[in-house]
Amino acid sequence: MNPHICYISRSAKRESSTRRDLLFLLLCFCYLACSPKSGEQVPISWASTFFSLGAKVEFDATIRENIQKVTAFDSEDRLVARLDLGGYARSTEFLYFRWEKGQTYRFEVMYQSGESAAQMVQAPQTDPRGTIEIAIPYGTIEVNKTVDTSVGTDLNVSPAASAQKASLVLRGVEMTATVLVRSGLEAPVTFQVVLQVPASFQVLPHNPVWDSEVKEEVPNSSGIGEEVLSYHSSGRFTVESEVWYSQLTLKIPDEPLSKGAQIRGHVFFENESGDRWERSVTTPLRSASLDEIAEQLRIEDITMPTGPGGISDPRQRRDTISSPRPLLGGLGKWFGAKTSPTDEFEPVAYQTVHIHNQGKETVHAIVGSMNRDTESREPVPFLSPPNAVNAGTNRSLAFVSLTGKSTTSAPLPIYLNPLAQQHQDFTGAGQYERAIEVKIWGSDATALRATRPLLIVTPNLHALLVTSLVTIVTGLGIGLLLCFHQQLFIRFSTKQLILISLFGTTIFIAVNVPSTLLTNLISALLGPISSLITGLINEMLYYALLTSLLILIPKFGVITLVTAVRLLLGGVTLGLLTPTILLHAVTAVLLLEAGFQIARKITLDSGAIGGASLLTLALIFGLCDAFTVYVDFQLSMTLYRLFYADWYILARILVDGFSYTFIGVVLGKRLGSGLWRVAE
Amino acid sequence: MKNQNLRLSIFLGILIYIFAPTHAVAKSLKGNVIFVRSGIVIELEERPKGTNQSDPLPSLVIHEVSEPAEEFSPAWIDDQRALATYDWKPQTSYHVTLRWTDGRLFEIDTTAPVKPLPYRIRTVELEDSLSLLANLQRPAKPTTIAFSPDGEQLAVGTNAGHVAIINSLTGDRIWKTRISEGYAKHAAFSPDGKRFYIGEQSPDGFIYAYDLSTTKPTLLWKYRMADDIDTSAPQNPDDVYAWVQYPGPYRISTTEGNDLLVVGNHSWTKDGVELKKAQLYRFDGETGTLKWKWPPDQTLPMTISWFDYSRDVKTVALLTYRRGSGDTASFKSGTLYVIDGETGETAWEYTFDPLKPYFEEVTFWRGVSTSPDGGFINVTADDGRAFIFNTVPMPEGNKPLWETNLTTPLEVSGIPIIATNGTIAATNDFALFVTGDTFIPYHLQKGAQRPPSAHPNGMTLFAHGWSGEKMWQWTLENMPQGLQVDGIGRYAVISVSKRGRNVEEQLHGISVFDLNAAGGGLSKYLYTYRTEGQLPYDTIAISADGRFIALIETPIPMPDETLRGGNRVHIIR
Repeated sequence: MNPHICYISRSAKRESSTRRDLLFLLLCFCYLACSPKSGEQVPISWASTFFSLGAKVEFDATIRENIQKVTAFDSEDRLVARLDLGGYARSTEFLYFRWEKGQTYRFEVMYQSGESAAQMVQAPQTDPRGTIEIAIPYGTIEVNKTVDTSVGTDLNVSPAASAQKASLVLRGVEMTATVLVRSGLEAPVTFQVVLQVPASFQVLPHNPVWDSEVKEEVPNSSGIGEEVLSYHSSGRFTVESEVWYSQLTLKIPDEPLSKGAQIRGHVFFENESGDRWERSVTTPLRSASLDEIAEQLRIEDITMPTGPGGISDPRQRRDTISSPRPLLGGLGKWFGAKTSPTDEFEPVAYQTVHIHNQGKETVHAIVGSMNRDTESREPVPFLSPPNAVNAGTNRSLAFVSLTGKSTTSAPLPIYLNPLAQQHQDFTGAGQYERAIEVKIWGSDATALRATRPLLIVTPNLHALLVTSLVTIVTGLGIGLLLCFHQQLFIRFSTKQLILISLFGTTIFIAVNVPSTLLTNLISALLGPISSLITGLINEMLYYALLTSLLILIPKFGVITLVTAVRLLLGGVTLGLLTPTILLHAVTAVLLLEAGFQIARKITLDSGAIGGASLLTLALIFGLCDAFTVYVDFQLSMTLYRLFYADWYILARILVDGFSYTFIGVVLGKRLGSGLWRVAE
Repeated sequence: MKNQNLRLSIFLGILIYIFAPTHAVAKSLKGNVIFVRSGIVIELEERPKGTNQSDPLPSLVIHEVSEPAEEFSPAWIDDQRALATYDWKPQTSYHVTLRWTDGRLFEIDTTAPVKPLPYRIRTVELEDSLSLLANLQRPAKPTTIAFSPDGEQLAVGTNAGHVAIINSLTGDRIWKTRISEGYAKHAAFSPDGKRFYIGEQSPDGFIYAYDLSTTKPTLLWKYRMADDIDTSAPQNPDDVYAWVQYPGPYRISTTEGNDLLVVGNHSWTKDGVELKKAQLYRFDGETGTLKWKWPPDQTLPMTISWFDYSRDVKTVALLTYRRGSGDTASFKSGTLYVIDGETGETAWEYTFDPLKPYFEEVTFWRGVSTSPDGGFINVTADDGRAFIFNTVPMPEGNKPLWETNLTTPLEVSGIPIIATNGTIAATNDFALFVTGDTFIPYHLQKGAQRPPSAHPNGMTLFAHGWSGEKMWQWTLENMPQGLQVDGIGRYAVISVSKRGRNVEEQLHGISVFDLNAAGGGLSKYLYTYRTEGQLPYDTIAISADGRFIALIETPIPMPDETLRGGNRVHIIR
């Protein structure tokens, strides 16, 4: 295909004189004669059209990166505009120049390879002399193109304009209509605007820019007389490309609109020479009730925290913001710790609202979220967007076009500025509420509502305190063991020490090894309830073996030694000797040793296990292990910065910590008694 | 002996081969003529043989058909490109001749376009010149740019304190230094070109003056602003934005009398309390002697958002504000102060009322400018209003001569749609207002989705006469990032750039306007020079005579994690 295309718009053919056509064809012919050699085939995926300030060139995505420059020449081949793009063309590029009506221009695109292609395009037959646009609501103006009724030209009418989409208005709701008049390249001019809305509409409140309404009858698109309310306004453009705009609030009637309902706008221009011309626009309307729209939309999910792009991180605690504070609070401050600087203009997190539109048509909406107090329902000042520049709003907003039959995500920023409270120690920690609303753009009508909790947490000082205490106690415990290890060993005979070692090894083989190998797999399969299975090994089996050993050797220090064997084997063979494991093990040993001695002391009659009754020991070991599980959680929170749900912590303490241990001790009694009888 | 003769013969043969053809045969050279702003560029297709430094420069003869010829001495950009200043007429035929003394000739008949074309004289890569990658973990960024009065030298500074002076035509680096670890905030040359001033935003907030008349620039004097507006230690000095909390010169400008006007701002937080201090200085540029400072007896407990002055420096206008109950007994937030530039005393002041219900206070960006003749002041506030004041207060009291709602809120669904409007300038003929990006409200710029449509008056350059009548306007192609007008008020340059969601559809470049051209915005608009990368805020400069424009480009990260563009300065005509 030859790259050089001659293009004459349909209207141009109609309007041009025969002489001009002949001249134009001659030009085309001459240009074709000068076309590149047959081997120089270049892509033709671009098109030029005129607009009021020049011409726009649209490129196909396949050639955009190869465009070096675009040049426009007039009919006398004089350069009128050039754009050097250097290989980075956008989908539409603009060449600014003052074109002459009806004249043919040559657009030349040069590719980076050095090849070029050209198009001849005739400028419209009328000058760009102003437009009128009506947007309901403001921002959806692209679908309402201007039609020049005075001369019937195609200027400013794109192919899409012929199939205008109707503007959606909500029945019984106030909606904003914006009228925009542009001057084009003719100035100075005076203009009069006439806006005609269906008579069933009310305009509230009356805008003084517009004269009082006049009720009149005009023919509608079917030629039938229709009663309309007309509003008149006027103005003057002193310079080219000037914009005049005004807004009206329309109260849409509760009843459905008649078929063919529309808003019409006319603007009558007059220049200083007395020339007059008119531009008109018609905006078809379709009405729906708020309920119909609300039924069409659904909030699928609201995720928080997410990134600015709406992607959530499942590792982060849901619905929660972490607010920093000086380490150790007032004590830390006394030592000179400072509050982390906060940037009130930088969001601390984002929430993303996923909205599904079940309907076919796009709905323009505004998604807002206000962070408010759970009781008073008032906005929380330090959780509002920056006050000085939020133009009177206390919400985060996102403007979305909800495409039909799809889900659209709207990320909303969340701000946290504790300094707004003027209290230096204020962190804002607590429970709040996110009130999310989806409004139909252009109205104040809320289609969807949802609330979600918002939790602000500060670093867990409780966990820090427990971890500190456990660390101190572990240090003391290890110190004492190192100092008095000889006294500990002389309490046992060699046979007992061998038995303890044997039990330690057995516990390692029966508990540690399967636990290490299977925990991840079981966690992956069962998630949060995996501890129900792993607890059978870690708690029940372990305490059964430990209890049976205590039946055989009911002495202080047995638990310490068997744990030491277990730790050493775990450390050497599986590498399980981390500070956390050490802290956990020492805590457990101290609690269990103390618990065992207490159980022996409080058992009045001679019990079965070293003087302690079975139930007492099971109860005390259950409590000790429950506390150990609790300490384990606190260590994880502090050292690994993990967050757990309260129910999960409680369930683990009750099931793993207490119940399984209790059962394990009971089972251990039976096992130990059997072994004791064998030993005897 | 025989060998010696042979060597001599070969040597002479080579000499004859090299020199004889060029001197014996005059060659006609091919090339092209490009019509640029106030001049032409001749691009030769090949390097003229024999061209070296000692060769006499060719003469350029240009003449309009049927008009007498004019002869020029062009400046050579490089071996193949010559630049001459010439006021050509649009769509006029010219005969251009470039003739060497040895007979070589370049000759062309050409027609001037309707408007000048943008012409890149050169781009200078900044990564080496300014050691941008000295710290790989935190690469430095260019922050300020300034032309020498004759446009032949260009200074560029970075946020790591590196400063380089470059030859505008050749791109050669003339001088490089590092002022400190601070942020090179603003730079300026003295009108006589003998001194170079640069200010840093750092714990000290120094202003340095260098003597350029020596072979190597030497430090002439320096002034520590922290002595007046205090110093501070950011809570996290390693933070990328720690510099914001240091004192710094937000504008340095030189007067025709070789004085220096500087505004110093310091905004920091201490024990959770936001503190602000500001001062305006007038120095003797040669000695660094302080002529006056404003306020004279204390520091201003708020921010001086911007200042401007008349050419004779008799009128200095500045805007002050402080967010949230910023008024003190002596100073009011949201106020225009007009100062007698000779004495530094307040001539008059005007406090703006907030635009309720949308705004509770009045704040500003760079919203003040003074006409060079000192007759008028134009002001914009962040709420979207624009004002013009007569510098001589009216008998009935201080009030705006003219006021308009330029980008004030347009309310839809209870949401105010506003556009920024803090970039302005002034010539003797026009009050220039540049409006920017639409926001609903400000915080949506940081992550939430944008409004469905821009403010009708957003991203537009408005030119008003000093009585307030609109003279012309032009819609910009992207978010304005700075406005500069040359010293004679002929050319205005606006950088437009902003990385949006769809990076491929964003336009980055500068739009140039001829303020003297007759007609409306389309006539005054000359061209948009495009860049691959984005343009940081306030990093364009235009030489005093308007001939050269410099702009800094920085790379844009693309969705595929590649970079588009680079750290470079473009010098264009």
